[in-house]
Amino acid sequence: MNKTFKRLAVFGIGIVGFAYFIGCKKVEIVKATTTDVNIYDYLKQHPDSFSELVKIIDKSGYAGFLNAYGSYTMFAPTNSGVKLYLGEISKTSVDQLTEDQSKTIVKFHLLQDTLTTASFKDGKLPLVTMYGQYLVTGVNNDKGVSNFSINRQALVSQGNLKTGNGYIHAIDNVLKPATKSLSQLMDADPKFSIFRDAMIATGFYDTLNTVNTTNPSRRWLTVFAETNKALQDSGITSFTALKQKYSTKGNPKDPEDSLHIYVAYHITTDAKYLADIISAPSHPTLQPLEVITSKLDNQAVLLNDIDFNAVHENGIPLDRLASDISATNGVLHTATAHFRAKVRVPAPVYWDLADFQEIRNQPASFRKKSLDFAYGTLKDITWDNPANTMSYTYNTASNFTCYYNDYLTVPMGTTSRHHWIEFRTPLLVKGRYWLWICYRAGKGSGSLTTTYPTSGSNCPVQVSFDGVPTERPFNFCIQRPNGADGELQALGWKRYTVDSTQQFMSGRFVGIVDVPTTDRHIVRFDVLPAAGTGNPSNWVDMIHFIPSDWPSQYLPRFGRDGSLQYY
Amino acid sequence: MFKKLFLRLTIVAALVSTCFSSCKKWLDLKPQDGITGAEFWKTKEQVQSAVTGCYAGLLASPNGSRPLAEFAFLWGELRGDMVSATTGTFAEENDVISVNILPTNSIANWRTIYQVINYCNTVIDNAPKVLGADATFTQDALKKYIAEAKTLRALMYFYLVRTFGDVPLKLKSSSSDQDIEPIAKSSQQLVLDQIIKDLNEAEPDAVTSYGSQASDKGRVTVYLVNALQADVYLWMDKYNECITACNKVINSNKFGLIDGSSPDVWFNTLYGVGNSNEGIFELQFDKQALNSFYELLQSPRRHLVATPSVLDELYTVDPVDPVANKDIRADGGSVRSTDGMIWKYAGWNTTSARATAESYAHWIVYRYADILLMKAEALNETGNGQGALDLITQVRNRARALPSTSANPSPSDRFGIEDFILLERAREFAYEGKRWFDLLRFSKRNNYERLQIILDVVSKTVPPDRQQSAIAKIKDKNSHYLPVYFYELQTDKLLVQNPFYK
Repeated sequence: MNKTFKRLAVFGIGIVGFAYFIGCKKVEIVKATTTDVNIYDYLKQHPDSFSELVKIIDKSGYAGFLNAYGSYTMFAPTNSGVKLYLGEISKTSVDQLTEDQSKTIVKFHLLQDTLTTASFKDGKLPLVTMYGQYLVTGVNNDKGVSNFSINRQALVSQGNLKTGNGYIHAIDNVLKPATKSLSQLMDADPKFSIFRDAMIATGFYDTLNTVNTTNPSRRWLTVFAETNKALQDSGITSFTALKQKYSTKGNPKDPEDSLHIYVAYHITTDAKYLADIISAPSHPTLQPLEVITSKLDNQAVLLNDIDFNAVHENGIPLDRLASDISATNGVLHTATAHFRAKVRVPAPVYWDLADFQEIRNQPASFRKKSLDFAYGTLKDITWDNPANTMSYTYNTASNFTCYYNDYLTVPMGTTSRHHWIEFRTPLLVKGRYWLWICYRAGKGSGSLTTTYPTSGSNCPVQVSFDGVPTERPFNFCIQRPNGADGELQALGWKRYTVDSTQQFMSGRFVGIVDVPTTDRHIVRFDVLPAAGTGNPSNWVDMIHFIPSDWPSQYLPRFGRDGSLQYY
Repeated sequence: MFKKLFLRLTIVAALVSTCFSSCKKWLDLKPQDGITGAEFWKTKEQVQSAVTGCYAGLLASPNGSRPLAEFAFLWGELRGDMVSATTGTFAEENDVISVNILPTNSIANWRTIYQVINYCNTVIDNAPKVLGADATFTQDALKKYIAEAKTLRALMYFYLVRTFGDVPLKLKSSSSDQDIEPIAKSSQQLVLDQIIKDLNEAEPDAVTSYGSQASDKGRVTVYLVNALQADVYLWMDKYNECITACNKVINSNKFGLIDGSSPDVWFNTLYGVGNSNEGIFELQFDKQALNSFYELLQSPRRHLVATPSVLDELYTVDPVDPVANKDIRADGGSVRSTDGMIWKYAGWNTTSARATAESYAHWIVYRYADILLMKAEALNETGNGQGALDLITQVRNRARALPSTSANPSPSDRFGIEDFILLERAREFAYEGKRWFDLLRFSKRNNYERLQIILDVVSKTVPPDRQQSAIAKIKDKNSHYLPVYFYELQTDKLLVQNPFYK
């Protein structure tokens, strides 16, 4: 009995001891989904680099949200950077900063999105800082070592530090927000004195001196300021000379006064840094309906470098180093030559659709033989279905008397054929134009008529200009009626080819269009539902834009050898 | 009592029988579906299959990574000026084009290359053991296999050193987890010295022929060793050694330029079928091992197309008779002009395209034209401009290059001839993964005497809104080499990132 008891006791102690061994290990329950720290904690964990910044954040009272869930990008000045900044503002320690100053610093270094260095371009970051101004990025090369530069004020010493709620980029100085308005920037720089006087005289000085908080489209403005030297090169040596040359009404504040127009033409909406300027082909100005065009030529940024009426007009280069200057309300660029809105008179554009850059690059085919272009290979022609091609066709058959013997074959229909096609026009001067579609009528099945087809193929097409449908559609399966030119024009038809016998060759008036700006625009063909599967034999040759007050809507006529006939 | 004894005996018997019947499998720790190192390396056939494994590594794509040929294409072309992005381009590819590479970009993942290096190291470490185990395995045969492995290893390191600059130099094999140890980078110079050492050791042992055209072009021959020597010496600015190596290939009289009088036959022989008399070393893709270029360059959603300026400016077009009088390397050679498709890996001849299942054009690592132009480059640097021009003319005549692309520099105009060679190499080796390495080599020569060469390229190729940043970046010489992939940095704490990418 005693023995049994002893055994039991030993056994019992053993079990308790075993249980103790098992139970003493506390089970670690993972409570967080990640062990990544958030921005504020990361900075705290690295006091060697960021202890001063942490003090600034503590003072600003923003530590809480920097440690909360979200997506941020923080540019974090290192300790040496903060010291440099304190030296610049004659302070000895962070404690001397006020709460407001600390808030400004933190807000200007913080964006509400996660941005890695891969999204840094030559201009502004895609969104504003929490302070409300854009930051500009770039790359700086010093003695063979390249670093990202932020706002031209600091260099990134270590990028893309990933934390739980965003990225940190360590920078070697504190970023300072712009404090001057566009007007004040021009005040401060004597090389803009003539242009600035023109600003004052026209009243734009005050517009550019305030931050417009009521009208969001005018919150940011971009100015292309001309230097005194640029004006002098054009023979304008003083503001008086400028006023004398342009002020037609004697009152520069009058929006119709040419000096007012001149200044308004130098201002565009939005904060547009050079990278933004070259990313879009044209920019509307404060002068209604006038645009500035832009392009990048090798490394030079050129304004208004265009071909007009087959004449090349040299562009206005911007001075890269003296551009991209941030202001509280926009960006200032330096133009190195004099430019103004040009008065252009609308002129007819006889646009040969079968003459575009990509076919000219194929000298073996251009005006020699047919060639198909795959989806996405043409810069100025797009269509809906990637499986379809754009067919350049060369044809010398006697019943195809097209201009230069070539045209585009564009089968359209509501199933597998093109549903729509868009063409970018050549440069059109603003004004009112008659829009003519010139095509070679044809039918895949059935015979051609001059009236709406009742049998066989049918292919009515709605044309639109800049998204606005024209008054009437045209139909690839209807040919031009016979008649005198005046009679035909009254019916909305014309004979646009030199050959007078072919009724197939049809010019169809589809409506009057208002071209709003002197720019390149979009003409679009949409096939109408009545087409059904449509028509394979759609052959479009030209599009004519003829000013409504032009002497003739049907002359000249175009020959298959490229000749023009004026009778 | 008897009952108890019987029970005990039964239990013991049962235990013993269980033990006998299955103990072999219980106690055997060797894998049953493979061969361990201790059992391998016994026969000469096993050595041969291990060497074949090295070549298989050149075609493989381990764990979903890209295969070697695709890396060679991307590393050689993305940063050049001859490919353009399409709507199908991956973000990672675009980032390389716009000089915007982060360490997380998998195009900077070198594991495919190091895997082949490890295969080679395994052969070099273990093959000598077989001498004792297999009496039919001769010293001579061993030397040949080692020469193959060393040459392939040199080729792999040459890709790495040109792409990454300083890289870890691993010369011992890793066959188990115990062999894995952190390893630091070696300097570019040290790696190049090792490459030269490997090649010089391989040269006397490498064979001149295996007796079949496919093996001669698909396996290491002494001519590949010489071609590599020429290329490496050129990279190291050692011109006389380069010329010597080129001469060895030229004087062998085993190679020539494929006749260009019929563009269709020329294309089909050199690129369509491959293993031609011009080829020195080609990766042997076939029906069983397709290359990855169909998706990359040919499919409707291809990632990359030719830059339009390749036809207009590089090859140019004869305005009078564009059909009959053209550079055979232009339309239908390197590029299909109608849609800009990169044609070298997509065509059978100048007009008919490969089907998806036929995408097995060889990746040509070296061919005879390369030897001629490398020699021309070295001759020019050693003051023999006329000799260089003669060799360029030889390559141009075969290709029926147009007079408009003939630069006609004076034989004493070193920079003029350099520019001419650089452009001629672009025309001759378009899309063969050489362009960026050519640009960098010409640029960095004599301590970056001509940095402007790559600055000009970048200002043309980078999207306009990043152009200025890209130019400022490329002025930093460290940016010419790719970053170490982030995963490698995490697993090997001795690795130091390229300072440009910090």
